[in-house]
Amino acid sequence: MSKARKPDCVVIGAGPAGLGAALTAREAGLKDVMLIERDLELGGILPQCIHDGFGSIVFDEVLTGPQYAQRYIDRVEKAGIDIQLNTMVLEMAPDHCMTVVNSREGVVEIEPRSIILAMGCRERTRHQIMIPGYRPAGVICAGAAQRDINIDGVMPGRRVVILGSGDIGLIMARRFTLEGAEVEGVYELMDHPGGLTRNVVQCLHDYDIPLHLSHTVTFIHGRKRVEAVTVARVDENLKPIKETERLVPCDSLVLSVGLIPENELSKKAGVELDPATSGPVVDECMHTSVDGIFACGNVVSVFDLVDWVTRTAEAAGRSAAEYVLEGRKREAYIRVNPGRNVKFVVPQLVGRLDRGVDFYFRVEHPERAVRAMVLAGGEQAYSRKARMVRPPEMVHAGVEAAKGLGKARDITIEVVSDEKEA
Amino acid sequence: MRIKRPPLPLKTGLVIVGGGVIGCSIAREATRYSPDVVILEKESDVADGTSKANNAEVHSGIGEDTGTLKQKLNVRGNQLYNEFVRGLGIELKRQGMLIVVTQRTIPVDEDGHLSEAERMEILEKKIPEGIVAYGEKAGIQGLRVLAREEVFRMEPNVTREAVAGVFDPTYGLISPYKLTIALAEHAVINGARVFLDTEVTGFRVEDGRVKAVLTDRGEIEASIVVNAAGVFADDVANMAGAGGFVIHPRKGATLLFDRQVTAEYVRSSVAEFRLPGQRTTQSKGGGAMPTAEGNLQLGPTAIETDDKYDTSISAEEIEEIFERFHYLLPDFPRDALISAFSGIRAPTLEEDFVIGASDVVQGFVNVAGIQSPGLASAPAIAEMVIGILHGLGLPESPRPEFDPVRPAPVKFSELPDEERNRLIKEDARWGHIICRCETVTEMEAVNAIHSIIPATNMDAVKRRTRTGMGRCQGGFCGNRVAAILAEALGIPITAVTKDGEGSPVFLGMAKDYLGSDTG
Amino acid sequence: MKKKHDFVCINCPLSCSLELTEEDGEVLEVSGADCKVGVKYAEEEFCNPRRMVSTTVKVRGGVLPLLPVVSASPVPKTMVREAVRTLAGVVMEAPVADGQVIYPDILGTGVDVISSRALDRKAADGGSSI
Repeated sequence: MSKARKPDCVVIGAGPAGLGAALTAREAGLKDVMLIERDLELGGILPQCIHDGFGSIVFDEVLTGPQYAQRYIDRVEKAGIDIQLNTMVLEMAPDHCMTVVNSREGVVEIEPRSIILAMGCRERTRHQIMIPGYRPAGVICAGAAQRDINIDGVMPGRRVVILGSGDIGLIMARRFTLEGAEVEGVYELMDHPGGLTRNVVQCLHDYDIPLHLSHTVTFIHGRKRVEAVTVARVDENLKPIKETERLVPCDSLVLSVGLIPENELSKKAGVELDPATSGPVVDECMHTSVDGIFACGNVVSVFDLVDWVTRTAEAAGRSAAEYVLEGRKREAYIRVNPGRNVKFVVPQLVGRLDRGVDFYFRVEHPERAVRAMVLAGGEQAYSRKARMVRPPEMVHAGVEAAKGLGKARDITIEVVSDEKEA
Repeated sequence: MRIKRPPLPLKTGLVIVGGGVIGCSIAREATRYSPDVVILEKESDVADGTSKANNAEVHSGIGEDTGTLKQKLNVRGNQLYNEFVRGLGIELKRQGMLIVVTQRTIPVDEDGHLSEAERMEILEKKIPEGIVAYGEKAGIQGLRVLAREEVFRMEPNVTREAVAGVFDPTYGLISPYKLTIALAEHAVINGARVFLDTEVTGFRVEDGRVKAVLTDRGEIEASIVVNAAGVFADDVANMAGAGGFVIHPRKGATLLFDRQVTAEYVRSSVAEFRLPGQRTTQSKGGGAMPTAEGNLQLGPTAIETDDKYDTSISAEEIEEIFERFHYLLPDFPRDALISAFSGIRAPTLEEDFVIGASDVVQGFVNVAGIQSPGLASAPAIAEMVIGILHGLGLPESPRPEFDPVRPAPVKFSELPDEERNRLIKEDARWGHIICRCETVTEMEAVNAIHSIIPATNMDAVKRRTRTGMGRCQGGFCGNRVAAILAEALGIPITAVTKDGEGSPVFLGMAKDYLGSDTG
Repeated sequence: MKKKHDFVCINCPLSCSLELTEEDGEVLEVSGADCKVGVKYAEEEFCNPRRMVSTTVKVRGGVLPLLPVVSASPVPKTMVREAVRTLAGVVMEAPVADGQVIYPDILGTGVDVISSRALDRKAADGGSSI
């Protein structure tokens, strides 16, 4: 860090997003790239995701989280990037001035020419979903439990109830079981699982762990340590039905109730956030509303595949390099509208029409036999059939440069019934 | 696995049962006259009973009934506060309270007995002026009536149904647990001894005098005992035969919100004025008030309970709080909620403080029934009790060797960068942030564990440093604090607790449950 | 005697509910699949269900106390739990290379269990693992 106080680029976060962005920025020609990570090693969330399923798109292989991370760590360590571990960003301003701190150099002010935000997410907590009851030891978020078991080697519970059937909850149901703990059941508020079917089958069915849909936890028992939870079925308004309450003895409640992009620093820098994603509004170059500040990965919106995280990271790294080396600024923009059955789209803005654009979006509700379409100025720029679309599976619509978005004034992403088309 | 505690002394001058804000206030004041003071606390930290769940309000006294001991000691305590905290390294933030009179204080009279003009005059003038007069009669200074526009200037986000207000400038905010810890440390600096994880089980009373205090860790000879045992004060008094009052527990839940969002919505504390007939519970009705650190609190509720350990929060209480304060602060975002807590008040059936030397057991002083405004009254309660203790044998003259200063813990987040760098050069642990949300360093956690009243579990570290009090509620710092505790206390990580015995954070090591027997 | 077995297909978001009919181990029919991939999936799940094994093993002298490991290819589904239990007794010595064989031929399956990452040795001065 003592080398340069005005690096070409500072990347905040060294998970898959930060690793990919720093590498790309360096390979695109930036001499002085600093990669800041608050943890003691590179990889972000990947080192604790010891299961496989990563990289089928980027590497055409099926890797574990640590293996995927290692692919990038090996390259980053050889790329002449200034890696700063155990380092925290304390402050950030719209003029790029940053204050960072670590044990080696103390508190340091940096003025990077460009910044790439790659801070990922934090987990939604018990109180945010307002679970009544006591506040004993033994209430933990699934990601934190994953870190306990896979990194620190401690078991946070022995007889566990999991609330939430998103992928993290499903993966942890299997992990707890394989480490000899008992998972009494997975309880899911909605009437459909929150994660991939693959995980429902390979984490729950394989281990005879019951999945209780349309259920929630209505009370946590135990003054000092969790002793039980009360579960109940919910009605069509997601309100607990008192008559269905059931006491489940357990010593831990593991919560898998959502991820929140970690944008406190983004707010300090004056970056505009999209309430639909809770992340920065970005263009197809991953440029935020502040000149020279880019964002990629889960801090922009929660992605389901790390491969997409890598793609957005590469876009951000390329763009940061173009910004610094060529002075490329943000363009006048076309707003991207989420249309029928589309909850949100990333990027929210499109500036350059001469290159292809990768859109990522999630649907609001499951739908069979559909077409995912990108309409530019009313013309179809992209169309793809899908047997089924579900909220847990992000949809990627890669619009080619040739097809292009032409002279479109507006862009809409929508999902329409394929049956109608026929 | 219990943390090892130091052995009890054989004998001391004064024993205070209960390490809450009241017990520690009395202890600190007593050490001005004698170092021979012992605090016995049954939980694993001071303030670990009701004090930690207090709403941080140092009331002016405006909400108390005339003629009660509560009102008298509240008004006096508020006035003594600045002097009381001098030297502790902790400040009372006197930012004042806005009492709002709204349209629903006296709703439109359908039957026509009250004309609209009359109703508005009551709301805009009579009620606010009445409040001011009531307060002035009680000795409260600085109260003033606010017109509607002034109310909105002060708090732009308050309900448009606000009609007028009263500003109560001597009201303030102070962290109840930080104050308790500071008082306990100050007492120890001046010779007192604090014994945690030590529960009083009885007393030896001979010839109508208290002779010794019996605990689950041994006994201490003492001739003066102060019963400041909070919710358990009646049980403790009865153990000595010095009872005569009953505590009927009343729990209260509070919702806690993100600091940044708070700063965008409220400047200070806001409460709605409720006529006595409109109050649904015995409590004052609560309000929307920040903590001393700036997190908005909404609440508290007031629910009668039989169980002295019932700090659970029900779904109905959560809904009640949102409904009650939705009227007062209509746009406040529910999703800024980060935490909730609950504590048990210790009211007597008469709903007033019980402070006095027992007639039956010489040397036994009850300081009981201390519900709200206990925090505000603490300096005055201590003053009154010291007066009683002088009559029981506590030396009359202040000790010249009394050290007036209790050094406050150093907080990285409050230091300028030059100071931070100086510390980091001294010890690298000052540069290692372990709590991202509250910007707390490893060194602060270590210091908390080695402090005068040592933190020996996660919650004790949290109270001293703020680890785990931010948006992520310990998601990032939890493991780190646990590892620091294990290392500093020389215990296995599986012995680290959240809150003392019975609350382990981890239930085993990886591979343990698979029968792995490798070392 | 004809028997029926239920599976949920994992290959696409449709998650078809599949019903496989077999007699004496011979697959007679698969119903419920929207495409051929589903039929094949049900057949494989019945005849030869295999799963990847991923777990951790203990490490001595490393910067972290555990090492993530993974089977080089899927093993029979019924052997996963036993495989993890077997691996629970393994203690590696740091440093470990990415892809290093941790346990060859686990439970006689012919499948090696390999390291999922590189793990460095802890520095002599201890360093912070907090």
